[in-house]
Amino acid sequence: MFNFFYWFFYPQLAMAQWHSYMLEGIIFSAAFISCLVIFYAILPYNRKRERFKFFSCNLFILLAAIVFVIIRTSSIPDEICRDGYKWLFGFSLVIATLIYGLLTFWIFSTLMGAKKYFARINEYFRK
Amino acid sequence: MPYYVFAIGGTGARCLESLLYLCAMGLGPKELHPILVDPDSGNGNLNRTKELIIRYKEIRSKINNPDKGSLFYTGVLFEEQETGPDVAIQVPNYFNPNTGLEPGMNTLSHFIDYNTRLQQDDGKHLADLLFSKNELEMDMAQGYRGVPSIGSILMTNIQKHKIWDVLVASLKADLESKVFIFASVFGGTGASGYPVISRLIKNGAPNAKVGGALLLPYFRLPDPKNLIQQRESLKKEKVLPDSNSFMVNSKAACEFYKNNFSGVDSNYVLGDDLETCAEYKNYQIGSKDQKNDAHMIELFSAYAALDFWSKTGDNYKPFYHIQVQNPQNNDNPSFKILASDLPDAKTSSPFERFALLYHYISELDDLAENQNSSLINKIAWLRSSGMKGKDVLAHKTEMHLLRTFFDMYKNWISQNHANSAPLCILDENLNMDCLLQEHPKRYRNYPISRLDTKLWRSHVRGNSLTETLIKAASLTCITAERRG
Repeated sequence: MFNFFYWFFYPQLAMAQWHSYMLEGIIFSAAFISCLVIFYAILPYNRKRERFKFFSCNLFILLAAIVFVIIRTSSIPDEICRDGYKWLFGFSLVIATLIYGLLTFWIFSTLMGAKKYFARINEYFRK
Repeated sequence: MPYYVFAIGGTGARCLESLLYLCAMGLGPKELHPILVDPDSGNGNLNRTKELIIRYKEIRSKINNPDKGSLFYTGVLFEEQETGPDVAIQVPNYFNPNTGLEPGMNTLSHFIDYNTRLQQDDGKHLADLLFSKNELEMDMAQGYRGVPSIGSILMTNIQKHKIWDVLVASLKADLESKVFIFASVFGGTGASGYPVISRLIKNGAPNAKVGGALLLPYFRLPDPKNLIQQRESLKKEKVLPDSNSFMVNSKAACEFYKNNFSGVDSNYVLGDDLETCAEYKNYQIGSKDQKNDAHMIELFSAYAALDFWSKTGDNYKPFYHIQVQNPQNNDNPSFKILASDLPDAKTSSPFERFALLYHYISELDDLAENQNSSLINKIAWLRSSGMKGKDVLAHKTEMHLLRTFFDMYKNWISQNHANSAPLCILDENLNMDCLLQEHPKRYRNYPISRLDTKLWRSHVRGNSLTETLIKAASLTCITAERRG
């Protein structure tokens, strides 16, 4: 069920505990994304600085996710881990946060029209 | 139904300049037909106005069916080649009263045959009574130098010009057409042209409504004696305009218009206090060097034309008196003309809109000049109108054209500040940090690119960059709460 978010992480022991950590990760990730999207949305439009603001917000989300993962994984007991569980958990959460963050920015930019046109990320990958 | 506007002399040309800016701001009529009247065809004021008309027309030609009141709403009929077979009215835009005089023989004595035919009869004595020897031999190629009695003789030439028959026929055929005349009463060309041309129009088309702005002295000239001493080029001149006679000329003219003249349906009398008026520093007798700064009186004359054209039925008064307060008499040394003093102050903010557009166009032109395609590509209103960065770069000339016009506007605003009663609606240099003189903080630190979002909301799709931008800017609301 949680694999809509954790694309590379499939725990096979201590399932209840891991699901708890995974849910916590999703909630924090959603919170980071929401905060930064709202923050970006309320920033006044300025054509020259718009790209900077957009990428800065996404960078903040990424950094917040990394910091959260580092703190969280350091407190997860080694007993419930096998192979690269911690690394896979962290990697999966950071990648998903980044992708879902960009997707949320894209949806909001479409809804907000010209004011957040610079968040139409597909434009950055298209010549 | 074009509205004809005669711009007589240098002052008339500058009034027309102000009128064109009002038309660009969307305040003008649907169609305007300017007719410039000046014996000095190379006059700097005349050339500046001509250039402005051409720039205006270039921009206007890219806008299809603008809505009433939108920017560049007024269509300007200018240049003979435009009036082709599809256009019913074919009136040229320039009349030189000295037409017919041979080059080098631009003297009154030659025009009235003083040295030939008049010598044979009593006409010589009449001419001697009316004109001094210097006036008879004065070179009229550069205007009538404050002697309207000379110019009024030559102004009658307009009836022989091809302009005349078509104009009169047009006025007779279309009773909605109106004529407005800009002229000074204190100089030479304007003072001579105003009564003659208006009377001739009334004689030719009695039902045509004719109005005019009579400009009383609002600038002073350097003392002609000092000028002759100081400048080698003027040493041979025997007749120079003298601002000491401006008031005497004006008083006599006003009495004439009040008591003995019925050629004009509405006269708008405008003036300033001559004692406190600024003196034209770089005075030139004529030619391309005669480029005088704009003055707020000329702007009010343009508003007078709009007022005249807005009247319907028989709602015309013979005289409208518009006078600038004397800044010294009302104990207010920092006297300024502000936006609240303008006739349209309560209805719109045309100056403000135009100033914002100046900044916006300048910035967009800079982006195009710097080939910043990726940034232009992200401007939503351009994208929604089907234009990408590369399209804008491909039409850089359109941006340059707009910028040239708006640079002229900026220069005009700046010139209007340099008077004893300065026109201080906007900052002299259109500086954003103090753009509006009455609300200097309104646009402080305001990034002009914020207009991107306002323009996008207007959802305009034009055939060209100019059309899209101008139509979108026309639809953008300027409100007191949140401007821009």
